[in-house]
Amino acid sequence: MEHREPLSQMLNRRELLRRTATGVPLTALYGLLASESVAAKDPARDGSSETTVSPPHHTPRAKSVIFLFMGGGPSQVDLFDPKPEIAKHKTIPIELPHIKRDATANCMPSPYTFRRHGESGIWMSELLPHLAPLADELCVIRSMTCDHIEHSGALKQFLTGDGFFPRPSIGAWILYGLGSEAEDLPGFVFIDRQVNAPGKQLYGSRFLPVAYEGTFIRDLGRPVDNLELLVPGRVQSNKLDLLRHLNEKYRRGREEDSRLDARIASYELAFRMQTAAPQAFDLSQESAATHKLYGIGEKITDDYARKCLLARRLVERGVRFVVVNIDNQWDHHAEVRDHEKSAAATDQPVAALLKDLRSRGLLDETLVVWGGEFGRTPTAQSKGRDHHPYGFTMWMVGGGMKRGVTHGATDDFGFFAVEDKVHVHDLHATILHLLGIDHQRLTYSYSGRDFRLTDVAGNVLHDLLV
Amino acid sequence: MRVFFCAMCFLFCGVDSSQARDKDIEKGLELFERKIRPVLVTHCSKCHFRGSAGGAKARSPKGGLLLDSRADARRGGDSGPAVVPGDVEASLIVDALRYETFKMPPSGQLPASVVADFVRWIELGAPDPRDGAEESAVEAVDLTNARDFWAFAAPRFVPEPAVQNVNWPRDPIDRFVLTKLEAAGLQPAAAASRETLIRRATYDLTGLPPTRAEAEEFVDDPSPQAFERVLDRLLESPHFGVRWGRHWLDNVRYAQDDHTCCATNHDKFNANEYRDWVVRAFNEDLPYDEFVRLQVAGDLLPPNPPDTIHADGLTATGIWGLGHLPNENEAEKSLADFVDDQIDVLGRTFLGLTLSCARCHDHKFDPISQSEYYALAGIFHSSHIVRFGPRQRVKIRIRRPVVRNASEQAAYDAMKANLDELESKVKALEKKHPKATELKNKLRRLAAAKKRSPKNYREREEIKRIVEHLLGEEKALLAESKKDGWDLEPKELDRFDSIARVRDALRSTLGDMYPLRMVMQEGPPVGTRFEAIGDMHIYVRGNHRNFGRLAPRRFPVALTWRDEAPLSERTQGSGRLELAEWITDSRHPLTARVIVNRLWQHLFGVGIVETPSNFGRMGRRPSHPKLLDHLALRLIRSGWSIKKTLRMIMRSQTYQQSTLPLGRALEEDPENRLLGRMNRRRLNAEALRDSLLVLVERARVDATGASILPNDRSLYLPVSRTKVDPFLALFDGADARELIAKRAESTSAPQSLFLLNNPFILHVANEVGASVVRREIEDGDRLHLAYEMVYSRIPRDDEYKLGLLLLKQAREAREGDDIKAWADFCHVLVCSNEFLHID
Repeated sequence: MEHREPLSQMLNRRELLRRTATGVPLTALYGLLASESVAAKDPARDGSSETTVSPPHHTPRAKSVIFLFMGGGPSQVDLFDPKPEIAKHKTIPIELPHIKRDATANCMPSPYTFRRHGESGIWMSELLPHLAPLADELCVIRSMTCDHIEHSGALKQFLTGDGFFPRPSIGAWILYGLGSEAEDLPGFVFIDRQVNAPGKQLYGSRFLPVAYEGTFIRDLGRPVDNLELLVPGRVQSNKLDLLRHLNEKYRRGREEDSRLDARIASYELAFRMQTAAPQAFDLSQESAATHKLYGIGEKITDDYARKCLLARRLVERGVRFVVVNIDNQWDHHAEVRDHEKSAAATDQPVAALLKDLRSRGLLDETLVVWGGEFGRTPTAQSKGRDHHPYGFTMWMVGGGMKRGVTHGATDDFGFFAVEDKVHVHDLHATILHLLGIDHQRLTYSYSGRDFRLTDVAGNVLHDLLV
Repeated sequence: MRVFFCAMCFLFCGVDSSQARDKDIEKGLELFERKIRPVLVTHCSKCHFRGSAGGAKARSPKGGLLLDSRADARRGGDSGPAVVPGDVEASLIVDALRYETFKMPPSGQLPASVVADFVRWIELGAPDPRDGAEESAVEAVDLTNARDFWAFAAPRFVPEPAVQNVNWPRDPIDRFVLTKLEAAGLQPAAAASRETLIRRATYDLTGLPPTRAEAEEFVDDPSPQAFERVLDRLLESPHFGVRWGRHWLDNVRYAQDDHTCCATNHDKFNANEYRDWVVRAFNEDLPYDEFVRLQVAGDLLPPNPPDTIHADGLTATGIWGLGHLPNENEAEKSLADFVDDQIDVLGRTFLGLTLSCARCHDHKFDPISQSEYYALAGIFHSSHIVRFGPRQRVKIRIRRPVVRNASEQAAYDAMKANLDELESKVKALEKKHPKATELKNKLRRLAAAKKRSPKNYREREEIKRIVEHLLGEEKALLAESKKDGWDLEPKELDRFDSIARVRDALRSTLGDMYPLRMVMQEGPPVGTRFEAIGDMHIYVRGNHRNFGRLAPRRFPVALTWRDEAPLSERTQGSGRLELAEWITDSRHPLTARVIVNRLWQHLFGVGIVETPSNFGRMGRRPSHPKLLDHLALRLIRSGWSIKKTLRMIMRSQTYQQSTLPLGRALEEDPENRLLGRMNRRRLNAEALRDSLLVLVERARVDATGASILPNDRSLYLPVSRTKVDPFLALFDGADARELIAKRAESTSAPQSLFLLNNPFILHVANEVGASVVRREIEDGDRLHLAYEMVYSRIPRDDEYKLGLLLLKQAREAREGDDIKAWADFCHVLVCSNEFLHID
């Protein structure tokens, strides 16, 4: 086996070189908080530490990703995938899958009107009036599938690649592969109302070094712990100055130990973050027009609007991967018309984000992905729809994706994906590809074998790339 | 770079594809997976699948018919072939489903649609992917080669090597290290200074900083035996078990909860008993072989005296219940996952082997076949720690009454009856006078709380909180009685207090007799298809519905030293007792090596084998294989004494080296694999938090002499799988969802933010600063004191000068406020690399 040195050690050496070259401890590019360095002597908790990444593998199309996660599972047949056949049948005349939950075979036609939009003629229902004018930007995939019919497994599969076993989150993989360009912010941010059932697994680093773990932000008012300065600023800078002297003294004779330098550098970063992070999170710095565009201040849109705007501010500052989850808000088992609420809460903020990114010239280098952990059954479960992993819709925008494209199709009833099926692994492979990473080469050796985000599967959706 | 994956992708290789009817086969296979297989599993498996009815029955399927592989189905049973591809009429299974000659399943005829599916499937050629060849038919384990690998041959006696610098070695350990250094043209580092050494040893053995008196005594003691006296003292400290118990708990995914309950110190999970036993075992220097034996089979070991219950033995088996309980719909799937987790602990923690890799196929790298995995899994399937109700998701942990003998049982019964009577009396009164009894209950609790004498700081604070809370409630109730006018002292409640008091006393007595515990028991879990102790079948490709050959319970052949009969011929039990004996046999190639390597790792930061829980082919090779064997044999010779072994290692010159490299050490051996110096280590999460608590105690009680009580230490924080303690997580504490063989040592900005801004740290700094200023002494002496409190040493001359300069600067920044300036200075000491690292 070809021997490669552990990433952390390359990093440390690089850090050292930078130090000697400039005399100033410039911050590194990796890690939870962008510029910190991982000084773990051996990053793997099990001791096996061979890593093989030398990023990027090819020229990247996107620098950052915003995953607008529609938790709960939005209904494809009420939003993007019109199926008039449903209305013509009482019960669905196709063979239903072996694994299902409580949905009946009774057809439930969508109560919403569909129209084609833009030159591309992409179908959308009346639930998405804000997104509709942007149809020609979208690449809509109507043939998504995943392997899990319950939230927990499907969520895990979408965010970690595996619905059964704990694995590193996709964001952690990306930081491990690429690092972050943010100088003074976390490289992987997970914005959510609460930790869902699988909890930390969705943004955790599992066996990858902890530094690649996502920073979970629940409260936009207090995004990162311990940011608040409890002493006057000049007192703190003075303390840091004293600390530098003490650490410098201790360092003498111990110059070889880059962890000591990393600690010194991390204090500098922490100091900068105290200013930078509150700024990044301070939405009041945006104009009134921007607030209005996103729907901030409007009761129904306010929450998701703030999160979307924050996502833009983060990628603008070099943050690599942002998940904006709307926690289980699309899970409408009992009443299909509840989709109106979820659509209203997200449509304007999502459309605003796309427009905002476009007008700032960020859409080319930012990949936006929209979708939930699964779709919903075209058949009825009481008055609502049940979980549905067999064929549902997601869309992607920017960052090297083709525009105005509809890809794949479900059967006449919107039940099974039948044309150009796209599996979660394919989605992941494509996201990595756009970032310049070959999903087959981003591996990490742990517990005696090599792991990757896409396990043994995944095909890049080359047809959908510019 | 070789890339390999545990892929479960062997698809349908048994299908006869020579036929030109590919399309039919494809359709037929799809039909089989969607329609046929589920029916076979649901309706036929109980009588016609291998092992499904458990143990003995499996060997004689009803009517001689097996339906769980293609070949078996086509061969058929006593009456003829069940499935004849393409010939519906000749296929007896269709006859049976139609309730013609045979009537199957006996519980009732299946719908016509099912029969139609079978007919269609047979017409399509009855393609069936269940190929007997898919299970690991051939034992791939080549024993001659297997034992060539270093880890699978027993440790061998190695004579001490010759060295050039004969003056350096103090212990044979040093010779093994020095000979490799000399071969590389290197020399060992200088000896660490005494103040460095006492801090290092104290942290290593207790996880705490030394007091000034302890440090001074050692620094001033010129005797060559001074350090040995230090070691003896530290090894006897009750803090030893807290530190080393935590090391062990990292490897067994210790937490106080899983997703079925939340983590509190009330311990719904019953893990505290196990944790406390581990701490006790280390403090009492329980021999490691006994430590293992109790955990593997403590419930089966004879108690002493015989009429008693082996309480420690029962508690120790709690290790197998600590795992995360998977939440599956099927009991067998949950059980298979749960057992897999147990085998992972058995493999990685005790043996340094990734046994779980063989769950779905033969181990790709180590000599463990899939059938050997199921041979071990059969032992765990024949034992249980959780109960699986029929189709019930909630797992109930075993709660075993510990009654020592018959007379205790009688006493218990009497008390229980008495208690029941009192309970009903109390309840009746409470129902009749809800408010007044509530007040009385509160007042009684208040009196009890006031009487409690706190054992430590945390308890003191807790009692304070309880008293305040109860006082508030009392006030509220009194006010309410005034307002609503209910009777405070109804006549009927005259004796209420005394009854309730007797009830409370009885409750606690009975509670003592009936600890609720996670305990491993013989016999498979109820509510699963496993009905009795016995061997299990291989789960083909890890699929719990797809049975392969029977895997007789035994131990992996590559790791046994003589031919052994299968366990079913040696015992009526599950085989855990034999498993314990096998692991702890002094001839076992792995057990002793794995544990001495762990001891070494916790003293040096890195093990001789860098992958402490993987000694297999995919693990790292030992840097000093002969030293490892030497240590393993000495451990066994010492009677498996952990304390003696630690003492022996710490006595060595190797351990006592400085961290500063000498000569070309850095260029030649940057990673220090040759041990030509000591490795610098960062304080782990617990040591850091405990050290901060020590500082608070020193500021309050005695500037340099104070420490904290074992019960106040971070080990006793609630440990949750789902709600991870933020401090422990921030500083790389063990993640209880994993087996942590080695903690990460990360350096992150959130850590630095914590150290700079967290109110707790500022509180520590203020306390320490204030205690220094309180003294009516000169600045120089205060500086001296601050260094002693935080660094456990006195400042050197140049540090003294620098310190005074920095203090001046701090004072200027604080505009002359002495208290604040000192707090700032002490804060900086706490943030510094010297405090955070062990040299």
